[in-house]
Amino acid sequence: MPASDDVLDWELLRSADESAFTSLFERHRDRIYNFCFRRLSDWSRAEDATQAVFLQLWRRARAGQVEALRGDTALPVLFTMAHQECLTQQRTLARRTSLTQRLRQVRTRERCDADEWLQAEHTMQLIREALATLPEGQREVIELVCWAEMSIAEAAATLGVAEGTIKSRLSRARTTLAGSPAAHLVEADHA
Amino acid sequence: MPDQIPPLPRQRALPEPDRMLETILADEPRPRRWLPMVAATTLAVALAAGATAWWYDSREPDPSAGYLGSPSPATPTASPARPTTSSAGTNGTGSTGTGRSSTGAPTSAAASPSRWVDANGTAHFVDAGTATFTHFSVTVEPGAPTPVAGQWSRRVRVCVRELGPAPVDGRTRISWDPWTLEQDGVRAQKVVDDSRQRPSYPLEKWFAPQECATGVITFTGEATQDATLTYRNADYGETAVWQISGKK
Repeated sequence: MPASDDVLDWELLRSADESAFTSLFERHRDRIYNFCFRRLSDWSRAEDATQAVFLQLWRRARAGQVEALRGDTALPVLFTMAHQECLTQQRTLARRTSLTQRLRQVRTRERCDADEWLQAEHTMQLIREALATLPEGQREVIELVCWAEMSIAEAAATLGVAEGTIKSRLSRARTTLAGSPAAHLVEADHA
Repeated sequence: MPDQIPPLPRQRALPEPDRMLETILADEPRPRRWLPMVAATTLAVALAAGATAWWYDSREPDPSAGYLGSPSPATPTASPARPTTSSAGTNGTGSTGTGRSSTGAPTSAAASPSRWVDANGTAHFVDAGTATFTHFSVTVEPGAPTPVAGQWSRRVRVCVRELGPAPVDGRTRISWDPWTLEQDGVRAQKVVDDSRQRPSYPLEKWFAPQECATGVITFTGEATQDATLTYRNADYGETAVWQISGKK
């Protein structure tokens, strides 16, 4: 993805340009959706969170409240918004759709394997439990750098910390998990 | 910790993204504080152009009808001139609105010194901006790409909003055909295969609703000379004109 696309679209978005918003949505929706899923371990809530993120962005654009982009990509801003939205969802007693309802949703909306859909949620819950021993800051870095494939600089911009902080958190997380069954979750070629 | 932790679940595509996008864009009506001012300005423009057969529809879009608005307002819809910015690479233009027209007239073109709609329903812009028609939205982005001697270029984007009466496999064609450029009253030659300007605008490609063709269009000409860039879709008569200054 050429970085200039985000820069140009973001500049137009600040004037509430609908087509620029559409381009940003199409370019980043899947990454935000999967990021939210990995935070929430729930596809339906991840979908809700994704919509909330982009809805908030569009409302800000209409209100003329979108600040200029600082880097070459909109991802840090979008991940920051998604991070906050997931925290909000985790803190609130979100409505838990019954298993029957959720199965019906997936069967009617997508022709996919419902077992796989639910298995992914179960797997994600296991993973999050395995990482629960790590401090929140280290888990966030794993989510962004190892799972969402952000660069160190992008993760730093997303979390509002120095790049060195990202590197040290990642290093500590790897040290903690080394030799454990969860070690493979913090592997990433580029990190 | 369990003895075995499975790998991360594979990533999935967001379900029904088009529906989500429509829901977001239909979220709320635009603020209306600007409406009297815009109405007065556009009326003045219309009278100056001798146009009395059309008027501005001040109704808010009907949320139940989706983000395109109510199905049959027969006239263009005004949208506000948004606050502009002056960051690098932009001259501060670019704004779209919603609504739809049963003709080739744009559904949005905020009346201002840099954009207006003439009596024929043609949208006019200065330097850059987006014209939103029934079937397509057409954007000319501000600023020129990397200059190449003897060539005139701009980055443009055409997005499908609505399919016409005869779509093929749910898609419609976007091509170079609607674009023309004039400098000093002379129509410029299209340069459709120049590798120096990337990504180049597609010569011909098929797109579904909500998808966009983005790229650089290039003509023979001088980047430093004033130019008139025209987009005219022969099938629907959707027409927009950008007057682009060659001076920086």
